[in-house]
Amino acid sequence: MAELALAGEGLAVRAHIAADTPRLRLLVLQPTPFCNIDCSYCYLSNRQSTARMSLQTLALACQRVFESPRLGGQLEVAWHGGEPLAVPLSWYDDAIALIAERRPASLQLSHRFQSNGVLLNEDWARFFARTQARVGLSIDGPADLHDANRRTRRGQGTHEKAMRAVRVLRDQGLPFHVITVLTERALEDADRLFAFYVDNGITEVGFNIEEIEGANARSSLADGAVEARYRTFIKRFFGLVWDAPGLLKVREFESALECLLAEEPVWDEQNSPFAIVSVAHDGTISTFSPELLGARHARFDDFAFGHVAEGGLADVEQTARFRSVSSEIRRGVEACERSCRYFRWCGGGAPANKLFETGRFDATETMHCRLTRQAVLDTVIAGIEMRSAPLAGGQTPARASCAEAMESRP
Amino acid sequence: MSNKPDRTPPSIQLAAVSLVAAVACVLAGSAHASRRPASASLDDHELSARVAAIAARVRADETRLLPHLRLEPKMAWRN
Repeated sequence: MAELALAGEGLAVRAHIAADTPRLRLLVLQPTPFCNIDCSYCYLSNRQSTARMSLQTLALACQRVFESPRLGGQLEVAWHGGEPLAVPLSWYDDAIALIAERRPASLQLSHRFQSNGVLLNEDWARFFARTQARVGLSIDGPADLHDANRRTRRGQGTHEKAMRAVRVLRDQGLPFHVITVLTERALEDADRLFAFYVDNGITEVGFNIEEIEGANARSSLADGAVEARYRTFIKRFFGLVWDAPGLLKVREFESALECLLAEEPVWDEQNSPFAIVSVAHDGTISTFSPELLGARHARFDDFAFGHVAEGGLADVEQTARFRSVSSEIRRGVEACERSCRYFRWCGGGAPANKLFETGRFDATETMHCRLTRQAVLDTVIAGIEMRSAPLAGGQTPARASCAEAMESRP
Repeated sequence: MSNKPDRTPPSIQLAAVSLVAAVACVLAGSAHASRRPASASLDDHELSARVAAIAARVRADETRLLPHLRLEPKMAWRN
């Protein structure tokens, strides 16, 4: 047991929690559920609502998080939506100042925004620079792939505006990453996607998949034959990345390799209560997978475990709904540990995907884990084996391109 | 792609601190002479052994190229 002392807003809390309890490191804030576009695969059911988080609600959210003994020494605030940039920039000036005023002095705090880029302009870029916020843009590759799913409510493509956001961020010298949602349509286009990123100065990419989750009940990837094509795509893309060291950083490969090289078994923050705390625009508190925020399900109704105006995280922990969900998620992780050979490098899968694919949190294998974890781990393992020299060979000389890549590291 | 450096616009900076790039560098060299067929469907024991072999191979060169990379055994939320 460890005794922690935290101070924030004149409040001092001392509490006992297990020393090995995962710390709260990610706060997902939903300033609005509203999204200015209408992607075909979106999991949010209330994305037409223009409701906005009040600063009073934000202050209460800060209080609940900053007073919690679960808080670690670092906290990342992820502004998620809906589309976070649908809220005026002036609101964020106030919000970030409020958070800065109330945070414990010792807390290292950072902000990140995930945006569709449509509203991103020079003012936003200056704001990101001023607040040192990390920016992620949702871009599905070239226009035909992107506009097939990422459209306005009037059916117009959004690629041109998203690419303008890329240019704005590049012109301002701001680092950013891109998240691409892979659908069945993209699986033959590994080379074209790689070229798209490189040609547009995109150096960091994450691949999401079209998930069966929340309001999106079907996926174009949910077919055994498609799964084989997905593996071919991942294998090809890994080869492209590997053969051009340092040119493109792909989140899935980085994460898989990090897990493979880690000396301890991997744990998944989505399976650990309060490692992630999500707060909706109206002050609703949730945890585990952030996609549970605002989602509904026949077995649980919703996943609103508490409200910032009614109590702290410790109070949430005592609710029947939280205990029921937490228990079922834990059983699911235990079942994964018993049955899955990838468990050591996975940590038990994503609870939201288990629920929305199978109807239960205590399920094991899902399409999501086959594609985003198993296929990627298999690819990285096999890819490295194919390209590596035996250990007995001693030190191997790095290629010239490798040396250049490594010299670019900060 | 490595034989097409002219495709990279001059303004592009290389991705920062890529573990894949670092490991690619560590394992570069006599790769072609030592390629082995890779299988994607093996039993639990063999999978563990393969991962252990990769980790050992990388760590053998860790002091040269990987000292600044912090390996955290955590699967992070990705959206």
